[in-house]
Amino acid sequence: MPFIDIENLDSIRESQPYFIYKRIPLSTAPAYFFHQIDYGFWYLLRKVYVKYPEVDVTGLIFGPRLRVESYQRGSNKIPQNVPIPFELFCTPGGNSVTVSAGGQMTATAPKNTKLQNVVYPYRDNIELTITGQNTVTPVQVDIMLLGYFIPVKKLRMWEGAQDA
Amino acid sequence: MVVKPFSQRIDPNKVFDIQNSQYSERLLLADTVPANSTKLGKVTVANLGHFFCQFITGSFSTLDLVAAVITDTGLSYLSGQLMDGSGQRKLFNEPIPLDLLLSPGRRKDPTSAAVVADPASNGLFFPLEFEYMFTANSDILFNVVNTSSNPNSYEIVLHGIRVVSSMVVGNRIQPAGGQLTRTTVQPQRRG
Repeated sequence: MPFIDIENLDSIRESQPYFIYKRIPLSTAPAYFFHQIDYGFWYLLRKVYVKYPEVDVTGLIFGPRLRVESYQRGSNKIPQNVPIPFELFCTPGGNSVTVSAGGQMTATAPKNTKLQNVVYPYRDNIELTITGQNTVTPVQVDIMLLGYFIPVKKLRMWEGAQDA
Repeated sequence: MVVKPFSQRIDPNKVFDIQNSQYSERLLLADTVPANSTKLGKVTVANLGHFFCQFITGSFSTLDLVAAVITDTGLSYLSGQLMDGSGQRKLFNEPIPLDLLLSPGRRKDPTSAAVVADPASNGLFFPLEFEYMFTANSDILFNVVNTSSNPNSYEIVLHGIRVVSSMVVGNRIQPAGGQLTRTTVQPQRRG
């Protein structure tokens, strides 16, 4: 196990995990995922977990191939050439059995996912556009971002009352 | 990280010294959430020292009432929001369905009416990464929502490292039999 010395103990305590979850109704494509980063923190996005059903309440298999396109508005980057299918960078779980009218999904465990390691500066938007809508029934897409808030220590807000 | 304990020569004194100041530990947080309710689960980090959490694993039941019969539907009814009790710092933006968070996830529940026929519990796939330092004497809170008409239970384990207080304040550890010399960690004044 890694040894935590006194010197890096404080630096460990500065950052904190912050998981961002949203359930996106996908009645018409495209659908959007937005989350604005708080002032004072950068956000290190580590992994993306996604779930969506491939079978509706009547048992009809429709097999949507949802695709996602991410934007980094702060730096005006679109870090992919075309929208990427979800299953090529994470494993959409719960996509084989049923979804109830309430939007609940089969409780399969989260599977493997590709590391992202993208840093969003504070006040930037995490923005994902989802396409590839099925034509049979609306679905709901569960998206969870696993990441960490990293305080930008040079900002005055972290200096407290010392300079007051 | 792949640990190869025998890939190098082991100095028992050094290993014991390290183990006296920090060691691998697990904290279990388990609770049952009543039907259509919210309940705050809690586990306390003892004053022995800080707890550096690295991974989370967990399982939960997926029961509901179907025609007044307790049925394992396999759907995720529980959502949870993890909080650091010191300062009420929220670590999720809102309650997240446990099936997005926890591996192995669904487990077979003996209170189900068809427990024999129910599918077997999920197997552990991998622990979820979650690196955070919970301070000594703080509470780890897990606010869980149950949307089912039947109570559901969950158990999560936080895997991490206990950093004992004596190490945090820079004191030396004096086990029975004599004082060990600390060479790895030296208390330093932070400017």
